[in-house]
Amino acid sequence: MSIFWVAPALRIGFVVVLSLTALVVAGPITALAILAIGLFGFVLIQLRYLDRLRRWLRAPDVARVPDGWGAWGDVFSELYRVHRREEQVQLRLGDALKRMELATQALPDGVVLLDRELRIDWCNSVAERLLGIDRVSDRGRILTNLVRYPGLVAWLGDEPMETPGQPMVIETTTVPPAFLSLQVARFGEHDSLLVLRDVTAVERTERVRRDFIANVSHELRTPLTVINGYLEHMVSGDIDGALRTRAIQVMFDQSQRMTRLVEDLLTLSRLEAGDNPVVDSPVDVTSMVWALLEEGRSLSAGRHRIEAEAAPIGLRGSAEELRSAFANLLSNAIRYTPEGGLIRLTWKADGDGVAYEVSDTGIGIAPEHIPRLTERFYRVDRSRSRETGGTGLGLAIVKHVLLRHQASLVIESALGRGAVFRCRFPRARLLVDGVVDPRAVSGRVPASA
Amino acid sequence: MPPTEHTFKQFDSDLENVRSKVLQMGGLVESQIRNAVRGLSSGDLDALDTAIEVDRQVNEFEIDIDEACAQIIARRQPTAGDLRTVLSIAKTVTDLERMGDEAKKIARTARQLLDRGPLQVPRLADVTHAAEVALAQLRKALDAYARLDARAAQELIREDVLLDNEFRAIMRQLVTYMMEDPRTISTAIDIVWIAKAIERIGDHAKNIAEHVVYIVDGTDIRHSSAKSRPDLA
Repeated sequence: MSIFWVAPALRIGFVVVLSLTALVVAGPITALAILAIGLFGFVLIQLRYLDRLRRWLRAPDVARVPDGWGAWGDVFSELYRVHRREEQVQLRLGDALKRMELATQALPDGVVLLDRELRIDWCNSVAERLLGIDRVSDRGRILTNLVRYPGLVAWLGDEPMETPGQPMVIETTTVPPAFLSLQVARFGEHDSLLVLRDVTAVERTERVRRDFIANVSHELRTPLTVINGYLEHMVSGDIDGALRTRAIQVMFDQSQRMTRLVEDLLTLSRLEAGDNPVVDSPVDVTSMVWALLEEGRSLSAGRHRIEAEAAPIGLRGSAEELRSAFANLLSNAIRYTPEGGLIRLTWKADGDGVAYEVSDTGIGIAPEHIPRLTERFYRVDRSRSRETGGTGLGLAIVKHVLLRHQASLVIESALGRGAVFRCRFPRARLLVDGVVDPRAVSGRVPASA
Repeated sequence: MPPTEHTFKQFDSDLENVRSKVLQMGGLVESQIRNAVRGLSSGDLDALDTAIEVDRQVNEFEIDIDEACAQIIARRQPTAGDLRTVLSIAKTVTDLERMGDEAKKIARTARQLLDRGPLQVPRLADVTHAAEVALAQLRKALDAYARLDARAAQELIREDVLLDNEFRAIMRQLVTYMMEDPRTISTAIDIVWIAKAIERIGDHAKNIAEHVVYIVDGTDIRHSSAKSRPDLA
């Protein structure tokens, strides 16, 4: 018999002894009355404690476990212990859960838990941001109702149970669109874990690469088609004197165009190569501008008015690269300015640094094209730029040369209002004493096409 | 046989299925419009072809969902909120199908424009911008539909003016272009068709938003101005 029974047994024993004493002293009726009252009081006390227990159970609170009398004290203290332990376990569990949640929140990838009907059970903040959903208010909503990429439903339904399959790339409907790579893993009975990663940058590079290859092939194929056509005629022999001379001239032009393209491509790849440090020698830009002016005038052949203004400021950098960039901008201006237009070359201090500027009164550029002008093979008007003999790489080369000199290209233009191309060089690129000692400048670089 | 709880559950899941299908159809139309506009702005013929071809799938969705709605009405005789849901599903599907047609129209016109030669399209940037606004409205409308969010739907209904203004501005500018240089007339007219189609897409998005309000509140707010509706003011 445990200690639990001792106290109640003593109390009941006391009542029984009391009533037995009454039986001897005052007779059976008094004895029965005392016994009844005693037991009745005992039952009442038990009921009172039972009621307290019931009330406490309705809103359990460790700090307010009721105190007990006799056996109830034991029960209550036991209850207190159990409850206390449970609370601690719960606290630990809560901590562990919170840590898990924090860990999934810290994941760079989006995570969504889905049930068998593709309803959102939980997601981390990255997923909220990527998919435009809300963890709290969208809980229980069907994911594919909110992320409505065609084919997503079928893909989520088809994915194999065990091995994680191929990721699917979807495009979001946000502006600008983002590309997300999704992967799904099953767990539990029918639940699944959706992992999403933002692959917009990857997708964009991939597209640039694809476009680049397509463009290069296209640019090379056009002159080749022309050359091939004439050669076929020549092989079959039905081509006579005058036509023959013309054919050879056209083929020569086309092969030159291809040469230019390949040269530009090589220049670009050389500029891009990381192991090719920029030459850091003094460059006499002032003389370069005057030389460019002469070249520009001969290229324009009197169709435009070309003026130049050059301050005596020298630069540190690669004379060859700068020359090709500056000449490029000038030849663009000549190409896109109608006869009689005015083109100005300027080399002067610009704020903190110095700027080379080519302004023209040409056809101008619509604002939507300006941010994309330095993309390779980007053409505002396909037919026009090809007939003027451009390779589509000029401005890309300019951009790279400037990048290598920590300079920036600013383009100001509007349709029909001419254009200004300004190359701004930072102060750090200026020659300390401003002017270049003519003897220090190595011989002028030969003009490139 | 009296309806049991099981019958109700089955009905709810039927309804939910059809709603999901409507939203899938919405996603398809979204991508169709995007393809059409992308093809127009970048000259990507594949995107235009996709936009034209996908229209068949959109139409199949319409037939499929209409059939499902008819089934639900015939078999379950829905009332109150459920009936409103079924009715609005049928109407939303019509709106989506029309949007698909408009997208197809944009793609077809864009093809003609591109076939005509180098694309010197006046105000193309404005048209693409208007298309982006329309797409954003469709997205918001479908989101409101998925979440049954009457507040977002009403916000969208008020925004409809944006696109109307955009359309009018494009029209005005195109008219000046045509007056300045009559050679641009045929191109400009094509652009007008496209701009109109985009504006119609915005209107249908607004209709969908109105259906959402109808499902949630049970009030039909079509053909009433924002002023006469204190809830929108």
